[in-house]
Amino acid sequence: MTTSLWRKQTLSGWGGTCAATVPTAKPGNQESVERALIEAENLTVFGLGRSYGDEAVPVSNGHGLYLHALDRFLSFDPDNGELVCEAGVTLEEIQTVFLPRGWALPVTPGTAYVTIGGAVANDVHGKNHIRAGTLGKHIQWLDLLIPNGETLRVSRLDLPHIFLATIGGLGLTGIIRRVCLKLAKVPGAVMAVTKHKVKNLDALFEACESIPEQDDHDVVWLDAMARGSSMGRGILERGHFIKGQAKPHKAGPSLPIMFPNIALNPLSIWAFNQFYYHFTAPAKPRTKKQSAMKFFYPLDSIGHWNRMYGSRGFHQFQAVIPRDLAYFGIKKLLESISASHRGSFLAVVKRTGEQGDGLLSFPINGYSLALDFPNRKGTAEFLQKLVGITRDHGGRVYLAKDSILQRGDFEAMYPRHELFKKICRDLDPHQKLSSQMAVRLGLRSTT
Amino acid sequence: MSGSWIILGASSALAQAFAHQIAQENCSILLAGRNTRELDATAADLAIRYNNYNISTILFDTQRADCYSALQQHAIQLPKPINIYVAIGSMPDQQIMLAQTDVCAEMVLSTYTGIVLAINSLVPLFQEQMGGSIVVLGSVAGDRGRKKNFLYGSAKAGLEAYCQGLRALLSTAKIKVLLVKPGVMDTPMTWGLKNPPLPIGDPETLAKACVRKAKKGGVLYFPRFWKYIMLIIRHLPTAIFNRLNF
Repeated sequence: MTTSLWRKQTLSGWGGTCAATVPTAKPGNQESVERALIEAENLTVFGLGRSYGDEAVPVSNGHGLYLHALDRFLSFDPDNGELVCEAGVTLEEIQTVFLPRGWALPVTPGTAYVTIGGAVANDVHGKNHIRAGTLGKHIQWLDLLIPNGETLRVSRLDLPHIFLATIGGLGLTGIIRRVCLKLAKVPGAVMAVTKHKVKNLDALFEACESIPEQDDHDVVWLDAMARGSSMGRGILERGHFIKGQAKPHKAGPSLPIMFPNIALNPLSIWAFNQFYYHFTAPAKPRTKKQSAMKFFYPLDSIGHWNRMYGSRGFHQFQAVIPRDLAYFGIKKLLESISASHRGSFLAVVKRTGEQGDGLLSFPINGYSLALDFPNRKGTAEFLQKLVGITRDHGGRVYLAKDSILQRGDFEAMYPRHELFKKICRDLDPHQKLSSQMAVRLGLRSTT
Repeated sequence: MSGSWIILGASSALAQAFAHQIAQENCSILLAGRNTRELDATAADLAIRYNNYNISTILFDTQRADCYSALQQHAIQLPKPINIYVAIGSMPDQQIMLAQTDVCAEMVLSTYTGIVLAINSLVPLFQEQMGGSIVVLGSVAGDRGRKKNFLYGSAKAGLEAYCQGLRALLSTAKIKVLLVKPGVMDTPMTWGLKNPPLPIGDPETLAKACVRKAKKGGVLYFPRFWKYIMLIIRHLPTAIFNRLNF
């Protein structure tokens, strides 16, 4: 007997500004994944929905595909750290299982609630990008179900063009079924974390430029509302793994309801930023022990934290600017935010290293700035302004966070898009795979 | 928990959830089912996740006569005491079953006869050991034969009578028999179906309840409110029941 695979689901980006209600499959075995691909048109794979914009949102006549029921570890080699797993395994599961055994994800974003398939499709980076590169660098091979129904094992040696199009490929080259990645050996599940206050943008860049090339994870939480001489002030957090075990971490409370839209307003955001800058870091740098899970995933302790922004949702904007222009670019971005009186709840600056080999991989050698803005009247137009500043400084916008970039800006920011498109045309001539973002950026057509 | 668990129909979502619970208790596990590729993937996952490398797989298809003896042979070698969890069955469209003998026969074989034959072949093993559990997934559909679903329901009802007798037979060996009656569960099987507007059961919560109740035996409705719904349905006067279209 063959029951239907499809049920109507509303698939929404994490920012809550883009959504579609479409028939969605949730296969419980690998055969059903193949069936779903045959039955569907304009299919969008949806992991845990942590992409902020419309990357994982299907077009209105499309289909959705959940892969989180396929979440099995398939092999692990304790000699070299090679892990093979299905695409629906979450980063949280990998860290929970392997941290106590002395292995960790070599690269991790700021949330563990993403699937490994989604992490590959966005070629995620972390606080150690300068040293470790993006996640794609640590992927050994992928099993990819391509639109004609074949499954290909792709790597840097076999079908490298498909492999590199899939790393950061927004799920548009095929359905990632299995992933082989190399975990990193770590001394323990605990980190030594030092917090330094930086009093303005000059101090911030000075601190970041002096980051030594060692086993460190660095991030700056920035007060994006500070003006004048304290513009760019923040807290530089630097951590490295040390020996020791952490208590098994538990999921914390979840925001049960949408906050009213008014909850996050310029005043409350200002108050939060004041508090954060003045009270969460000591005046003089001090080193503390912290569990790795808490260090990497501070927001994961609150489930559905996106509800804080209310029903209108929010936009995240993340851009990276090349190193030689980074100071001026970030200064300009902060100035326009300050002038617009739009607060950003938490802004994050990271130093980034050499560009990876994924065709649409985001980070380039420079500085990345990430900001959250409540979705209000005029927010999208304001973000276009930030896009313009980014483009003028030779930077680019992170597609995992994006819902507003225009095609021309995208093509200017991602020079390898032509090759990506050509590979997609060969793999998917009948447009089996699509998404709202793919249509918006000209990577797929509307029909 | 020591000994081993045989899981029949191990690629189903409910069986997998159960396997996750017992793999943590460090017993040996034999995953049996039709799709050995899926079973191997599940076995690898349990081994890595819980550092439990006493997990094996075996092809088990109720439609194939040789599978029963193969299962028995494999079971003899497992660490004692053995326990068994059965989650097999199929629910084809009733209209098709009424019209096509082979489809109906296949359903009876996978939902009733196959389970009976498989457990029968292990009864001597159970009688030799003291203690152990048999967990069988029945269905609320077996509580009363409904117009729309009585063929499947009658096979599940047969399973209940079988469990009652088995419970009596094995009571001297201190074997507990648990018959589980899940309502609508959140699994890939029910994903594409039109489900009644009732709360849907979570496989992990059911699996935990099964582990707990396996030591006591009896009947377990899950989620619990189904017990009361079925109580009402069982006691509806025939004149009314016959007019209901479900």
